[in-house]
Amino acid sequence: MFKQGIFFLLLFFQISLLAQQNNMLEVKSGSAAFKSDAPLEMIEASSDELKGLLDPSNGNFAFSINTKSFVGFNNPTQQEHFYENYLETTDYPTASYSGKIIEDFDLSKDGIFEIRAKGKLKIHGISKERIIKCKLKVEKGKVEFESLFTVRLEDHQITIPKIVNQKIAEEIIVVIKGEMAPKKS
Amino acid sequence: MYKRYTLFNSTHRQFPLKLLFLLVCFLTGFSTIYSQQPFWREHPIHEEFSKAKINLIHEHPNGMIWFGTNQGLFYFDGLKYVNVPFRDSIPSVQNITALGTDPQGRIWAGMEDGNIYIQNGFDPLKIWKPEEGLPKSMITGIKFTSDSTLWFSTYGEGLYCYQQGRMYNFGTEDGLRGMDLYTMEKGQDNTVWVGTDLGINICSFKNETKFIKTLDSSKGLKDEIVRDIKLDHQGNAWIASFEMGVFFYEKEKDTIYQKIPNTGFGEITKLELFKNLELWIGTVNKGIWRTRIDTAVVYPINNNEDLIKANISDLKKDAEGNIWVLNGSNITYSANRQFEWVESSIENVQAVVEDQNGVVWIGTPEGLFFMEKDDKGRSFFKKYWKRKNFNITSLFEDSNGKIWIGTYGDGLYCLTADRRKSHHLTPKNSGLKDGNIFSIAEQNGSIWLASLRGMIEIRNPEFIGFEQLKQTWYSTENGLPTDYIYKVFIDSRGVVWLGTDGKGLVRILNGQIKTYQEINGFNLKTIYSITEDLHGNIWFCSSDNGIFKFDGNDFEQLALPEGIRNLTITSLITDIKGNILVVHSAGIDILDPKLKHLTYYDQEIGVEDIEPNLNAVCRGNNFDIWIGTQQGLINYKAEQEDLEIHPRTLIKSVSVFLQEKDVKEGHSFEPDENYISFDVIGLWYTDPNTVEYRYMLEGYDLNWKKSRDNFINYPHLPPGNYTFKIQSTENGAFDKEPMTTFEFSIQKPFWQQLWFLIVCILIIGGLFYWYQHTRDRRIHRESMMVKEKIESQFETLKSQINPHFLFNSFNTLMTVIDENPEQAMQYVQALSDFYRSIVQYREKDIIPMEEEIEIVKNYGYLLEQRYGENLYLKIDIPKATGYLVPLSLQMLVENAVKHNVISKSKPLSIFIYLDEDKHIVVSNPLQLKLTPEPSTQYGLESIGKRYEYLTSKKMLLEKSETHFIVRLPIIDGDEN
Repeated sequence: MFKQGIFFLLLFFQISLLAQQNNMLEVKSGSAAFKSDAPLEMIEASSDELKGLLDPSNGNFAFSINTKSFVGFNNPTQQEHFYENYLETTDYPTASYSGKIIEDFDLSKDGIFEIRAKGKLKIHGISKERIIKCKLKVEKGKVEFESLFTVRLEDHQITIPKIVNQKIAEEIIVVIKGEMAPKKS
Repeated sequence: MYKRYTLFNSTHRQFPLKLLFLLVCFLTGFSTIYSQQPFWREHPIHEEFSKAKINLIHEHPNGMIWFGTNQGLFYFDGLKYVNVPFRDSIPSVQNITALGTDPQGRIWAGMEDGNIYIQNGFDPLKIWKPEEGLPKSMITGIKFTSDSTLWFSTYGEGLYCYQQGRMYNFGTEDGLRGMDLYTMEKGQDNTVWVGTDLGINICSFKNETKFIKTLDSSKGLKDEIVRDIKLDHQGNAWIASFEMGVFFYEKEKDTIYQKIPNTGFGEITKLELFKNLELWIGTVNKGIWRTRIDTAVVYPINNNEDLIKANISDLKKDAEGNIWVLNGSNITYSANRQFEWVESSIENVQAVVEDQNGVVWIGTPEGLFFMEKDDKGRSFFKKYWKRKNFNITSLFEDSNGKIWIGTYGDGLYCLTADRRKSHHLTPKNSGLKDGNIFSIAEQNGSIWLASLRGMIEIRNPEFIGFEQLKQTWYSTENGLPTDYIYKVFIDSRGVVWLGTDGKGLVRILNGQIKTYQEINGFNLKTIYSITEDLHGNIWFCSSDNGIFKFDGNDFEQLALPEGIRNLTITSLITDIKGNILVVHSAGIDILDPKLKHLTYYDQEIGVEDIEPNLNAVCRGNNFDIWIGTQQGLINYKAEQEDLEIHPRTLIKSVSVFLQEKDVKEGHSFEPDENYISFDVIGLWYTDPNTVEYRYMLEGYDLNWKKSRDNFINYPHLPPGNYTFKIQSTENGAFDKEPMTTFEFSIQKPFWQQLWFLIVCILIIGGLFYWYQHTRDRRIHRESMMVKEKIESQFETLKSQINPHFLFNSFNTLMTVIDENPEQAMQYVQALSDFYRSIVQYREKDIIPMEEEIEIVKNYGYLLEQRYGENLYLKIDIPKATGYLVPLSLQMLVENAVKHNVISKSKPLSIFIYLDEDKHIVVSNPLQLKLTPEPSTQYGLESIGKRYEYLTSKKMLLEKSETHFIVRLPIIDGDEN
């Protein structure tokens, strides 16, 4: 718990550090949805509490989400299992992804393009280096983003009891969507 | 004797020409610059792609050479280029900048825009779509390490690795020295080496952890811009720097030092390493340079205009020992590096020796030359004795460093080890037995001389010039078969072997002479050259019979069928690896003494139609062999790595009805897919035009077929299991060539398959059973029918000749006779008609209804006469069609009359009519007699049964309180 607190502080610190700089982009509205397409049961849930900051000058970014904010489960038992058994949200209340965008990009021009980010994806307290592809749509200073990636449960030490492992796929598909706009300072 | 002399050295016929040449040499000076140059072959891409620029070379493990160009991917089989199309849409950027082969044999192509395509077999290129997306920077290298990891380096985004389905990036933040990677090489222990602007990074990835080691100026890499890296087998690295030449990383000491300073070759693009032999350097606009690893002297390739000032985009050796060079055009250049002409104006090299100091000495009819290096490290030949012109026929350096020079007619010269003094021995001044020395060898401190007057053994060579010559003389006088000896060879056991003129092989062991002339039924005749392989076997060439191997007991012959292509072999010599070079006028062949396989080298490497001089060959201290010819000196360097000596045979595609089909080995073709073709290629880049094929379809062909065509058709193959076997050869000898096979089968058509037969048998069995069954039933029915019929006839007859009926009939007749004889006549007529009908129809199964009605009418008439108005028979049949069981109506009427009361008070009406359902109905009101007539009940039953046998329709009986109705089905005319 203490460790998680420190991590949360650090992430907050990181976000606020980024936030102190000028011309930052901030997530105005963002969602994260995931889907586990297992043979027996499909689990789907989403959250609108995606937060994040991007520094367009150097490509540094940090995104985070409250893991307790996921809604839309098939039934309350599913949700309970998700919170308590798998993500252990009390111990690990946030999931985050922070790092740097690999390629050069220019958000001053309108258009649609694809970028790749290299960073640390932290879920269930386990941090993994990941490259994640993201589609950006720039229109009048607003940046819409959408990204699809997979998370392997094993990578983040999310263990599934044998009995239910047919209900959960080993690979979860995550879709992140949202809109960013310049941060008002 | 004179005749033999000309036979031996026919080259002397050109003597006046040589004199002229001598004069020219004299006027132009005697020294000549020496450098070796490979013989280049050019392979332009066909017209359609004439604007293509070829960027890089990639050799697939199966031997095929692939080229990445700015117009996509090509492969080259030695004869033609084939462009590999893109499977989906043609991308805007087709410039391939990296190629690699994965462990499954698929080709991966990295593009200038960062895309990566995969190509399987000979299929089109398909884009790779990892979840993480593809780089947007140029791919500069693709490698696969044995930990199932794919690596690709980029120019702009650093290094990527792809392991267990996830992609990871190595960037400057991870410790990489730069994001712009020029090159990537595979190192030991699953590492890759990348060249950056700030040195080398050695990278590996294990347990999701990046390991990066850096080699830079701190290790001694003074120029940190690394354009290319080549690793040797020990893990040492040759490093091409931007402008300071080539550096060498010594793994043991973990340090780098400058190995080849930049002596004018400028900026390096690529390196290629020939193990322990040579390093080739591709440069920007200064062509190719090369250096021997032992000397580190670097000099340019200057014998091809296209390559001299070229920007070399790639440089690679292949498995056959060819080097491939690209200069950014649509042409690829290749050369076989093993054989090279020594560029010099010296001709007619009759003898050659490389001394212990590495100095090459050559003897010509004009005298003795030796190789000297100038202050720039270049080499050139210099005449040893300025004024002396003598015809040198043999050269030899003994174990003390003395050089022995045999001449034609001028005796023997000996140069001291310090090369300061020389001694001249002639028959006149020293009593030397002969002045014509063709071959010199050393055994236990003795020098052996092959001459035209037998063998001379000089037993005191160390004292030559100071004391009287001690010699032993072997000649026809003491046991030699002839005095004309062309070659003396002393094997590793000290045995002396002589090649004689016309008299075979001679062995001298402890002074004992033994001659081998007739062996295995051959007359060995003249032996020109002798050598020994690494296992102590003696190999020699005989003037007309090819090459023989002698293991001390048996002789084994290699002649034309074994691949010897020219029987006038002038020299045999064994290289450092144990292969035997076979020198003849058609070229030079390399004989693998173990496999007895000959690899031919001729026009494709520039050594065709050479005029080699007899035994003008020598082994150098290292890998070199020197071969003297009329045209000059050839240098051969035995490659350190094992080379491919066979063409590699690939089945490129399998076609069905000439349409390519993606099939794996073991495929089972449909019965109608019986036109199978194989597109094959025997890859032999050294000389692709010599490749021939031998193939056999096991299960179809009985014998091997030979062909030069690489498209092999099998039309109209019957069903069965087949194995297609193919070999290719470059030297006409198939026996030792590896075989490529393709197993397949053609299915039998369904009517030949077991399941179909079973189904057929079941159906036929079923049909037969059904037929039997129905036939049995019919027979049974028929027999029953016959029985019924007989019974019915009997019954009818019985009832009709029933005395009661007759009595009644006669009574009726009696009453009528008196009253109305006319009517009586009619009555008798009717009665007889009635009986006739019974007789007529009783045999039949059915009768037309019309006739039956006639019978009933007749019968009715008889009854009416008897009962008068008390019986009323009404027949209401408008149209009588169809058939009935004979006498059925009559029997029913009879029954009605029989069982019912007929009286004035109770008259009986019988109605016969048709109903709507195709029945004929006999109906009468029920007025049963009080004492029933005795009845067998047979009549009705019999009619019913007969109907059952004849038709599916049944006779219907309706017996109500008031009426008795029988409905007889009418049988259609065609029903029976």
